[in-house]
Amino acid sequence: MIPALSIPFLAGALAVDNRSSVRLLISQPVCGGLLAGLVLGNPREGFLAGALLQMIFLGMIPVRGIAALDLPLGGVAVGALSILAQRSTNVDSTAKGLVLFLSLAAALIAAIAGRAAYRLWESRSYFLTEGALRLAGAGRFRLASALHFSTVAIHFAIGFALTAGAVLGGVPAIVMIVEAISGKWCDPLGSLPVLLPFIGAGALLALNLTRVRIVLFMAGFCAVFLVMFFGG
Amino acid sequence: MENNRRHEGIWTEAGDAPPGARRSRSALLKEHGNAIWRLFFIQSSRNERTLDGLGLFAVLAPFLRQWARPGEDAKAIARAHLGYFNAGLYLSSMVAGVVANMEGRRARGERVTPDGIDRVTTALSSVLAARANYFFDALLIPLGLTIASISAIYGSYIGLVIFLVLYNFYHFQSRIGGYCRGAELGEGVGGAFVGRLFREERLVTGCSAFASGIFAALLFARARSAGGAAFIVWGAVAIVSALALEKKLSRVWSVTAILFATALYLVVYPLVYAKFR
Repeated sequence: MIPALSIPFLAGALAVDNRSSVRLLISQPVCGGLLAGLVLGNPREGFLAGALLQMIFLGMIPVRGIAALDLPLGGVAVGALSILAQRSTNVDSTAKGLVLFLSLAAALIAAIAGRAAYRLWESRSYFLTEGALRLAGAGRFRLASALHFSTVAIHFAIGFALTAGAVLGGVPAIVMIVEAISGKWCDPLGSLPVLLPFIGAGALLALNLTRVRIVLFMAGFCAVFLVMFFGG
Repeated sequence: MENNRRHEGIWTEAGDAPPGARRSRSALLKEHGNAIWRLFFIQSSRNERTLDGLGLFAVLAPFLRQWARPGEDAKAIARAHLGYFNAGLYLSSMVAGVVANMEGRRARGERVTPDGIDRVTTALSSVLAARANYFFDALLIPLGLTIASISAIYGSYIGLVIFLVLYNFYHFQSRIGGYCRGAELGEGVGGAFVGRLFREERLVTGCSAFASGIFAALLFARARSAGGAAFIVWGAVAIVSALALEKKLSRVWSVTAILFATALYLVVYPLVYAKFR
């Protein structure tokens, strides 16, 4: 199956997991990136890209159950964009870091767009409950339930459409930028996977800034260095 | 008594159902199977006005006609369950189970009123939603994802598997087990249950903090081997920035700012270093 179809299909399925409250959490970026990589024949690259996005947003707690970003969509997008853009570019491996950086930026935009799309849907979808009320009043319970389950298709469609847009628009844009500006200067960007996870570590530290938890946090921190010191 | 029921996992705290109401798990699953698969779509039609009201209705829909007493119109029961409902994701199933239990008893002629069902639903929803959201969103998921991230640092998938198994163990216990307990015990599921909900909470809290410390230390160790002092310093700057910006900006904007600053640092630092060396 061509990537422009298979990746959005995967994103739609993961959007159902995330939005329809099946919530097995296979839609988390670390998993979504791996699945995107599997679909595109490069699971390792997809996994590492998805894991990087996951690490950046570690410790992000949804407020009242509402996440600030549609990370599942971003996970599929970053995995797919980094693999597809690397395949398409005619530049050497020094541009790999730049491709990853641009893929992350595009995935962030996709995740913000995903959240905005679902917010819009949630603010307008009361008409379904009104419809169900009318049907329930007429004794047509099965049809009223069907109205509820029809929203699964909406979640799939939103995930599909946004990811299709991200892949169809993002890959050529990344390739164009990389071919236009890449050079020896962008070689150090290959170290992004080493430094970006510190953002997530900061958020985790913020989560653990209570009296008991910070002690355990520091215990874990010191344990690693003790093991390294005595383990050589 | 508790020892006899230990196999039921985290739901033992709720206590036993009255002898007459005790049911085997398989009997409950058989009777309520049509509602249980619907639970996994309860938030699908979430909207800003009634939140998961339509979702709760869809879960209860298969039973509505059975619950109508002789001479009573099932449409009235249906309309009563199409209002506002917000019990979060993980324990909304328990509230649905309680509603199923109370409606069933009302249909059998016991002294349960529609107002009573409404009151219990509202009271349980707010308490359980807050408790379950905290356990899952602030403790269990960060712990699982930290484990997955630690193993991903070394390119291993094992952490991802651990995360999915750990999370889904509690997830299914909460959603299927929670519904069954609610359907078995009715409003009696509250009280003691809420007080001792998720006995593993302290353990998960400790493990989560400890794993976070391990994750942070491994990042510094990796930074040292990849780029020496320059990377260690930037790592510390990124952590402090993430901490400081979290209070000033939204998470999305603080991540975006640090993402671009890190890219800029990686590009500019070698040039500056080469010039001044």
